Formats: sequence, structure tokens, C-alpha cells
Amino acid sequence: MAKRMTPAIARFKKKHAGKTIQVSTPGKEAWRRLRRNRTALLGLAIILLMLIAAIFAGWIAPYEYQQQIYADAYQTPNARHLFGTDNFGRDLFSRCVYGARYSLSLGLMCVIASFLTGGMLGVIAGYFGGRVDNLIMRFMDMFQAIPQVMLAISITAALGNGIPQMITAITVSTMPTISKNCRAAILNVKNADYVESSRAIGVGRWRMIFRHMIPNSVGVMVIFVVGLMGATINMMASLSYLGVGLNPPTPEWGLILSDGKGFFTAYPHMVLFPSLMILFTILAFNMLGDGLRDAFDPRLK
Amino acid sequence: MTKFVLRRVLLMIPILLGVTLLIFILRAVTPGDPVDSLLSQNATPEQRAELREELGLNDPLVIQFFRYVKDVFTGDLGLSYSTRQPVLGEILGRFPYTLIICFGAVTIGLLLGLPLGVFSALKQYTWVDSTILVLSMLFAACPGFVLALVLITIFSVNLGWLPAVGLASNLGYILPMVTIGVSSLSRYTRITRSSFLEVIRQDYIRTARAKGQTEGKIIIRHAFRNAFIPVASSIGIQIGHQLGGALIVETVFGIPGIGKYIGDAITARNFPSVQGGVLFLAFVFTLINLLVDLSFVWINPRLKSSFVYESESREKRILRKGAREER
Repeated sequence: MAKRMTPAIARFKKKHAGKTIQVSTPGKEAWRRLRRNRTALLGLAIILLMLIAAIFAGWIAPYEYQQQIYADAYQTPNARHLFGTDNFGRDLFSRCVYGARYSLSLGLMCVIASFLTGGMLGVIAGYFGGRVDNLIMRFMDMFQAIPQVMLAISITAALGNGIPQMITAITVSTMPTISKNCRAAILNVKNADYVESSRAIGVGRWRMIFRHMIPNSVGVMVIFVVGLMGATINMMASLSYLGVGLNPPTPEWGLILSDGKGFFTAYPHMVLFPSLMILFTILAFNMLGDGLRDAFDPRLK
Repeated sequence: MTKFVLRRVLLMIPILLGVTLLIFILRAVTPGDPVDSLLSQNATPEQRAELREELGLNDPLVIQFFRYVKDVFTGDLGLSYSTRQPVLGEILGRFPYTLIICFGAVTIGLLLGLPLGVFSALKQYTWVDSTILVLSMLFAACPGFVLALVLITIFSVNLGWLPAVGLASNLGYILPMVTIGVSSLSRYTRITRSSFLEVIRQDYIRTARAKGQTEGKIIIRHAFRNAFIPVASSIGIQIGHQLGGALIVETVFGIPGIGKYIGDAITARNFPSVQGGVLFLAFVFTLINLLVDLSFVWINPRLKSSFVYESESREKRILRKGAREER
């Protein structure tokens, strides 16, 4: 749809031609508040660092993640192997760096998948209300009746180990929470004036949802995404640790930890470094998530 | 109130039926033949066929499902493939361990979390407050198994005070309880802090100060009591999380609880035990949520409407609203 130029807009443009106009949008306001929040910025910095590690893993890591150098097995951290090596002589620093790639990308995929399934169902439930709402929410109650970790484990156990299976498991188990949150977000904007007025000028229901309601609840949803990333990485590591997530030699942090747990009394570094990676990544996402919550809605603080 | 309780209890039935169906579907899509894990490699085809018939594995899935539901309602969760004992009995025998650990964890979480939260609120925006907040964030971010390994390293390996695995003595309960307790601690701390900060700005606190009440009594009698309500309501949710997390912590510490039971059953492809265990946990979880909702209503009867009239028709709701406004 081409933007129509009303006389008022034309006059305004003529008057202010060549000047930049400072407009403050909620997003800009939020960013301004976020910039002053040191904890959130620290979280953001750690996440960026992990992202760099994930993207440039091939250049950063001195060895391949599955490369076994038997002569170097069981080394404690030193100049050649920053994080030491494991029982197969694999460089733990390289494995942890490649692990960032797995954890972040898989985490993101899980979050996107749960938004596309659970989030959309929640939006539909919230928008249509009534019987549809009841049906979808009772369906979600069914999933929610099983503790999250338990559900994820049962699903991976049924489907077997592997990346698509694990994404399915985590998606299904986080779906109820995310659908309830999205439903609440939609209910929040459902009676807003701009929704009423859009309805009055005859905006269709899907256009209403995608052009008006979702963009206006994006702040709330961003907070979920960030919070969910932390929770997803946690769950992924837990599943791998229990041996029901990914298959070795995938350098997933939980799996590296699980490989090292048999040696941890004698060689604590095998457990320490993957633990720290998991801990700091989850912490970073939580810190950023809290900061975003405060920034988007200062009243919640 | 009776009607409300009844409604909520009845609502549990479709949910639990749904859970049963869900677990059944999961089992149906699981590759692998349970007969393989029951019989030795050199069993004759006749033996295998006989066992399949005996377990009812030849019937259509729908029939198998209804048979399972019927059995569940009569309290029969089937026989464990690995021990040939009734699953329900095995679960009930193991559940106390999980329960003790969960309650111990809640106690630890509350005993540490409440004072920390209050203290942090009293010293808002000082270094004490930020230290407590950072620590609680750190604990919240720490996955259960990482914390468990850290605790084992410190208290079992280095200091040698507590056993790392098993329940040879009651000391074995301590580390699992602390592991789960500490991860819920951060939630209690943060809820206490924010609710305390809210309460302390209320008028009745100012009144108490104005009439010359001592600061200690204000904190304990006036502020804390009111600030506790949101914390209490989060306890149920926390217990639910802990039941799920029990699988991980029990596996790490080798506690023979229900979490480890399910974990072992999953590895052994022992379907009746997995189904029974998950169903049992779902039942307990739903029951806890029910009790939490009921206690909300008991504390604050105004909330009743939000639970009871959920499925009421829109017309009725509008009518009721209108009637209330007229009054």
C-alpha cells in the first residue's frame, strides 16, 4: 500500500524540509534505559562474546573439536591447551568454543520453534477467546501437567538422540509456558484503542494480529525470548548430561561435562570449563532479560 | 467453596487423561521392541510370540490404550519389565525419598531466601543489596548438575564431610537437598525482596512508624507478614519444578527416588515404569497446583471468580458484571 500524502502531512514536510526530527519511540526509550543498566550491558557483552566465538569458531579454536592427540591426553591447562585436554587428548578450549556454536544456534532454533508453535497458539487463543481459547489452553494444561524436564526427557527417550529430536523435545516442553505468556500479551493489547479503531476501519483478523497486535507486544515477547534462551540452554545441557540429548563427539557443553565427569576428582578442569561456559551463558541471558524487562516496563522493577 | 473445589477436582480428570494419552503416544512412537529387552538373545520365536501375546502387544493401539486407562483407574500401573513387580508399588516405595528431598529443599530455600530477601530490601541499592542480587542470579543460572558437582567436590572430595553418592546414612540427604534448595533460593530471595519493597511503602507501615513502633517489630509483624503472601504462593510452583529437577539431582547423587527410577527405566526401555512414573509425577504435580490454587482462594476469596467462572459463557459474565455495577 502506497503511503497517501494528506495535505497536512505535505505542509508539515514542507515546513520542516531538510531538518531531522527527533522522535522518541518506546523502543528508543527502552534502549536508553537499557544503556544505563550495567548488569544488562554486561550480559549483552558476554552474549556478544559467545556469538563471536560461535561464528568464528573455526578461526578461534586452535584445534578441531574432535581431533584426538593421544600424546597430549589428561593435560591440565597450559599454554598449548588453554583449558587443558580430556582423556582422548582433545583440546577442551576448542571444544568449548565450538560448543558455543551448538548451544547458541540450537537454543535459538528451539526458541524460534516454540514461538512458531506455542506462541502462535497462544496468540490465536488470546485473540479469538471463548471456545478456541478454552480448547487451546486445556491442551496446554495437559502438557504442563508433566514437569518440564521430565517431559523433555520422555520425548528424547522416545525419539532417540540427535539434533532434530532434541529440538522437538525442548520445543514441546517449553510450548505451554510460551503460549500462556503470548496469550497474556495479546489479551493485554486486545482492548487498546488502536485495535478498536483498526477494527472500526475494517482491518481483517490476521492483518490485525500480525500488523497491530504482535508488533505492539514485541517488547514483552523479546523479554520472553531472552529469558527462554537461558532456560533452553540449561535444559539442553541437562539432557546431554543425562545422555539423552546429543551424541558424542558433538561438542555440546553438557556433553563435554558429561564426558569429563568420570575424571573430575583427578582432573577437575575437564568439568570446570564447560560448567563455566554454561553458567556464564545462562547468567548473561538472565541478566539481559532482567534488564530488558526493566527497560521496557520500569514499573515492574 | 464446595462447588469451587469440586469443579477444580473434576478438571483434573481430563488433564490426567490427556497426560495418559500423551505418554501412550510417546511410547507408541518409540522404536525398538520391548520383547528384545525382556528376553535373552537366544530366545525362540515361539517364546517371543508368546510373550507378545501375554503383554497384549499384538492388539491394536487403541485397545491397548483403553486397557491401560482402565488399569490406571483401578490403580494398576502394570508390571515393570525389568523386575516383574507392580509399578505402583515400586513407585510408592521410592516416592518418600523424593518427597523428603523436596521438602528439605523447600525448607533450606525458605530459611535462607527469606532473610536474604528482607535484608536485601532493607539495604536497597547498597553493596549488600547488589551482592545478594548477584549471588542469587548466579545460583539461578547454575544448572542443578553443575551445582551438584561443585558441592561434591567441596564437601565430599576435599573436606570428606559428606558422602557423594547414595543414602548409606542420613547424611546423604544433605547435599541433594542443598543442591535443589539453593537453586530455588534465588527465586525466594527475589520475590521476598520485591514484595517487601512494595509493602514497606504502604500506609500502614507509616502508621506503625508514626505511633512509635520499634523498627524490628515493624519489619517482623507488619511488613514481613504481608510480604510473605507472594512468597507462599510461589512455593507450590517451586515444588513442581523440583519434582522435575529431581531426575537430574537424584541421578547425580544416586538417590533411589522416583526421578532416578524413571531415568533408569528410560535407559532400560522399561515402558510400564516410565509411563507409570511420569503419570504419577503428573498426578502429584497437578494435585500440588490444585492445592496452591485452593490456598490462594482461601487466603484471598476475591480471587475465586478468576478460577470458577473461567468456562462461563460470555453473556452470563456480562450479566453478572452488570448486576454488580448496579449494586
